[in-house]
Amino acid sequence: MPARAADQPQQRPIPQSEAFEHDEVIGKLTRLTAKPAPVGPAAQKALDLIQPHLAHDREVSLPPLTLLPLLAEGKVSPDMKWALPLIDQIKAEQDQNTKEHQAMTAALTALFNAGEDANDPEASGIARECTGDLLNDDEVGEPTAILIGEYLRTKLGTNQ
Amino acid sequence: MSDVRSGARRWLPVAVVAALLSMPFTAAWAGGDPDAGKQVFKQNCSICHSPLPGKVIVGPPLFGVVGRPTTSVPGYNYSPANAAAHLIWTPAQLDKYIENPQKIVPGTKMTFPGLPDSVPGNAEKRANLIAFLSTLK
Repeated sequence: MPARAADQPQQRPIPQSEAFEHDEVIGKLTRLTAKPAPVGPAAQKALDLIQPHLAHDREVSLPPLTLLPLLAEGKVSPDMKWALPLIDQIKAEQDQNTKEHQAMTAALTALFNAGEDANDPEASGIARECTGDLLNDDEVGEPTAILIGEYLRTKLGTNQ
Repeated sequence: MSDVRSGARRWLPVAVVAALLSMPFTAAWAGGDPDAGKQVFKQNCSICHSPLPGKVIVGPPLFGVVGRPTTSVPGYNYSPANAAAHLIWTPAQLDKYIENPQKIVPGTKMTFPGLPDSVPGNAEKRANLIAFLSTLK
């Protein structure tokens, strides 16, 4: 029996810039999957790994970032506590996240090589661009979310 | 007699070092083929690293990497893990790192999974890659 809509966990919004970037990545890789071998199959393998990873990011890693503008204005309120369990989940999943990034890097490297072999600079360029996006998650996204959690806990005086 | 023994004790470490230095060069990365290593570089590294000096892509350029310390490319924002590692990229150190980057520098932001020994042929690939990297100077 299908779950009712009310039973589904509510997905919170994410920063629009991130949503746009995700859609761009998925759109570009999907377009590459229509190309002949070796690019098409390599793009499909990368997409098969990246799509669920980005979906998980949209559920867990990215919603806390919507708090940034308010926090930057010095506004902190108890109704922001919703972000804390998500941030705890980000921290708990760091090792798994690293493994997924390694698998995606390997798939993107294969796509890059397929593009080079097929003399397809668009494919190689998209693969390299996606690798840069992964690095952005490690350098900016994840540390920022964790910092938001630490800040909220300090400001709200909670260990929850 | 005691002079003989103390003399032997004094010279024993020197003799051991001399013997070690005279042993054949059998490190795993020795004797790599730089031409084959160029292909390994293209297939595994070139998505993020340039072999040219000063050209930063996603990772730092690997020109001159052999023998330089970690975090030594000006202007490149290394991970805190790499900054704290204080390693010199000797061929032996590179061999260990490329085999499993996260094991040698836990927390490195280089998400390349490595060329582990568990896959046949990877030790040779690493040796070839390091031989190629050694030519980048």
